[in-house]
Amino acid sequence: VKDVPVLSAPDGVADTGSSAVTDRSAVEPALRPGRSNGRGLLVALAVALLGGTAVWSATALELASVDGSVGPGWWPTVLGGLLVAGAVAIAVVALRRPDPLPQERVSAHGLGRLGTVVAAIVLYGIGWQFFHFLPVTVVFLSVLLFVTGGRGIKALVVFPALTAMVLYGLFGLLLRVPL
Amino acid sequence: VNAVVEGVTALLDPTIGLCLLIGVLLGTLVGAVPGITATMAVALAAGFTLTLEPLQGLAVLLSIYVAAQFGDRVPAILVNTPGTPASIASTFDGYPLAKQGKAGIALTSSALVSAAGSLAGILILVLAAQPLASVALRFGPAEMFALVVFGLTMMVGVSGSNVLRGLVAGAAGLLLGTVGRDPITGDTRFTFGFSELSSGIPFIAAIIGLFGIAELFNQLAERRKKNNPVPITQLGAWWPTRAQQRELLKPSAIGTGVGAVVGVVPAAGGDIAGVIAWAQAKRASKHPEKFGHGSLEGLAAADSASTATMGGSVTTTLALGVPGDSVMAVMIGSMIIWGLQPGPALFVESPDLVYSLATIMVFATFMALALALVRMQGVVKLLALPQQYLTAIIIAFCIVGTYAVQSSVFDVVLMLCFGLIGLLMRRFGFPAGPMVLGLILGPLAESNLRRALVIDGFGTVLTSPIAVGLLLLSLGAVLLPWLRSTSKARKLRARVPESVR
Repeated sequence: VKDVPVLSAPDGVADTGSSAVTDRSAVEPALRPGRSNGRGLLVALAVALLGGTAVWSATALELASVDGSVGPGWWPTVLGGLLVAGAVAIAVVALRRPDPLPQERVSAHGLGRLGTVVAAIVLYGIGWQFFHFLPVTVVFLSVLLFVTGGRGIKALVVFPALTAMVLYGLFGLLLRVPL
Repeated sequence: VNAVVEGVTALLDPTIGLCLLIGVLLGTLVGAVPGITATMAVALAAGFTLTLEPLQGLAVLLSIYVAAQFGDRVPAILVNTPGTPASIASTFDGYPLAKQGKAGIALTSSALVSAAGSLAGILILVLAAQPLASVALRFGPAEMFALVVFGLTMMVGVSGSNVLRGLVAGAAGLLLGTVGRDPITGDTRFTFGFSELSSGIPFIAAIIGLFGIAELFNQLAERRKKNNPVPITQLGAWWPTRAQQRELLKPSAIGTGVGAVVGVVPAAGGDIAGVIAWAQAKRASKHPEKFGHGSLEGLAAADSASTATMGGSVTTTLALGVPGDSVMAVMIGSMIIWGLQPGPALFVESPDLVYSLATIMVFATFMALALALVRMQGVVKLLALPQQYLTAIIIAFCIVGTYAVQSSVFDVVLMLCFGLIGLLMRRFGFPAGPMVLGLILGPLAESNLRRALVIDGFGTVLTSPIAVGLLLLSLGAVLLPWLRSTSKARKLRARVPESVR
């Protein structure tokens, strides 16, 4: 499409599910030019491993009702083969052209923040098994807000308590989900 | 006629009205907040709507879908940041108009043409869905398999610059679709001893993980600059003059036409339609020089086009069983769980459903329009909400929503795993859409292909003109972006002088 004004990449709009690519930065992780053949080869290796595992697992399936070549293991084998072929193609492309790097870099601080959030989710899941939903959720939300930069009574106490109550009211009381 | 009456009267239940209201409010909110898209919101809502009756749940999901396309115009016009990708083209002229002190007129005009586009799209749904389904009803296994491949490759073709990685993501999704019982023999495959996987990978956990959690994890991991957008708060006059209203007519007609066509194409959504319509309206305009500098015509074309795609997307989804866009991919997952398999057979089993859905969309359009016309200042304030509050709310909803589907902690763990997989996919340039589509349509593709092969080997596929046509279109969908980028690169190389090379 011609004559489209340059649009600055919107922060956070990068949605996964969008259908279009008119402004690629808006619908997929923005990529910047970089010189990283290793990155592409790493991707190819991971895809090849996935495909190889699929083929191996499909051929190792012990199925009672297989009576021909088009049995339950056939389709996963085809897909595994396609993934291996895809891996080879990615590797060839990576060798010819460096893999572009994402526009926004992952920082050590960001990774630490992500790790803390993942750990908090896991601990929340465990805590939920032993304690009532409400207090565990309040603590979980407070931790989330603290990790993402929230400070003060409003952010760390009032907001988590209100949100937990809304969640409990919606899911526990209205929709009768056994929380 | 009976189906129409039954479809419309099924909505007389007052709870449907409540669901519509909730959906419209949620849709407008998520649309107005950059970073939360309609796909993500529908995926999150799918978690709690599955406990409702199908029509109630569909009312929530569809009204989020419709209203998000009204709400997303607000940040596009006031902050130059699209609320969802569907409003990318709204920024081209919306923000310049706001800078000229015409934000109110831009917002009102946008809402009016969006409503017109949406209603035109719904008309397409009512008129085209049944005939399309009648044609598709004649499809045998070979044609159904080719149709799934077509849908998948269309999503790959339009979902990113790297077609190869899109195809790999699609194949990986199809592979995930093989987990659980074999669709023909009933044998259990790849469950690794987990009984929870015997009926396949739970769609909702996968969708929420890949679309919702992955995006949040990506935002947490990235080193982002503090970027609190400052919205334009002086809205100025809010109702367009007669001359301005007349100015809106022609571009709205162009936009609606483009949107209706693009909407029917599987996987193509409002973002593509908006930009194509904007360019077409510019070509047809008497004042093309104003486009990109604050043209009401440009705004009208873009906004009417993106909402007009909705009816076409729902048409394709219901009649063919292939998602019209990414939101519909999520919706198919919910419908399957409710026992409603989208596709031509749906028109035999529940002919009234299409009219119920069309009526829901009409009501949602009018409610979203009303909200769009009265809410402006309130929604502007939303744009100043600190990001960490949103992050916390979304993570909590992702977890509790996933758990609520089957009251299963296993699903939550799976969602977390998919979140991490989705994060890696984003970082390495793999689109998530094709993977979700592969997961959802995998069993359909496998069962039909295997049935076709049992009938007469590959000859069954290759002797069917429809199947061959669809497979050729699929090939085109994959090759076209690659050919285009290759020719662009060649032209660029040709322009660079030899001495520079």
